[in-house]
Amino acid sequence: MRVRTPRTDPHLPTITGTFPGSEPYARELMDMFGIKMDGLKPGRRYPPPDDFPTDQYPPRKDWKTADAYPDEKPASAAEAE
Amino acid sequence: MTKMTIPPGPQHPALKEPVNFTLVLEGEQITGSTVNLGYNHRGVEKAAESRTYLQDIYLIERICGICSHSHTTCYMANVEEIAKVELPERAKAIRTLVGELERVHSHLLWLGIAGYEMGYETLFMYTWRDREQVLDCLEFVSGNRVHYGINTIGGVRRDITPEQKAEILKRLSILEERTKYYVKLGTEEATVLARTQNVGKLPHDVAIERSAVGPTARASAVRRYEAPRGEDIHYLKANGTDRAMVYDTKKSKVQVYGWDELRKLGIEHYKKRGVDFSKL
Repeated sequence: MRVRTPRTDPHLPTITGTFPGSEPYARELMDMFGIKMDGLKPGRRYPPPDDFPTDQYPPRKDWKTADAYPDEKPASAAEAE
Repeated sequence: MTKMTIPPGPQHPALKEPVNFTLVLEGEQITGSTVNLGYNHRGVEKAAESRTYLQDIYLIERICGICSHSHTTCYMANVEEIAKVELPERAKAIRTLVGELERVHSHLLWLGIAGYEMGYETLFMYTWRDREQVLDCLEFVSGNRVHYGINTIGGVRRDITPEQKAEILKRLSILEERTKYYVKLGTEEATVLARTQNVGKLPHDVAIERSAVGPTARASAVRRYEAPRGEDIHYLKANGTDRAMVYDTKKSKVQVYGWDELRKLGIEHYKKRGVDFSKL
């Protein structure tokens, strides 16, 4: 299945009515990528921990570690060379 | 009776990895439970983004200690496709060999753990002793027991010498004999049968509703077309053959298909159910 949603206001309808097994994937899209799943019943967060900021979506390409943890220095790829 | 809520985990006494269950008890009966997953999300995707392709091999190898070769093989197949790298035949053979040895060690590992969890610790001791044979083989080939580090972009990092081959074959004959014994044990031993038959059954309709696949689904008697299946299709891309080995349950033998044939079969199968996939 392939769907598109605008980056500025991402919304997707849920398919948990047909495939109940899709719930973890829907939650992952919601918590990790910030895509709002319309019709998904409320539940606990997965997979980020409960104390992780709700407005941070790490797997997005433009997200940097410094957005959530300003004190931490990112490891550079050049280090190992 | 008053309800009681008990949270075992995240450091679960029986499991090796962090997971948290919330169990609702009424007396001694468990009436409800919720699983809280995600304790081990390590952000490997994000860590891989900021590293080079070569560094990523060693990062991705450490996703799992039991199936470390599978993860890098999958990653290498993708990187090589992007880079349009031609693999030498010997490298493909060595990759497949390491993959198969890893599978043997993984199966012996779970069999031992399963024996341990059902209170049959002799089985655990036996299988883990025999697993040393296959770990030795992997050590001969790669120099390491768990994280082999054999894959690299465009091939493998070590060759196999005739002396190593002789040692591996010697150990494989031991393993073959022992595995036959375990098959007999698993199907005939009273302890194993008593602990596994009709225990924790996943009902047929729940298996379908919850999209169970592979051995889990087949154990619940779900018979449906499933392609490609992990254990039936080995190292497709890494083999470089562009063919799939599919186990045909009707004829009980392995059929080899090209990708196009497999696609046609899938389309025909879904046409019978009234779904048209021919435009995909």
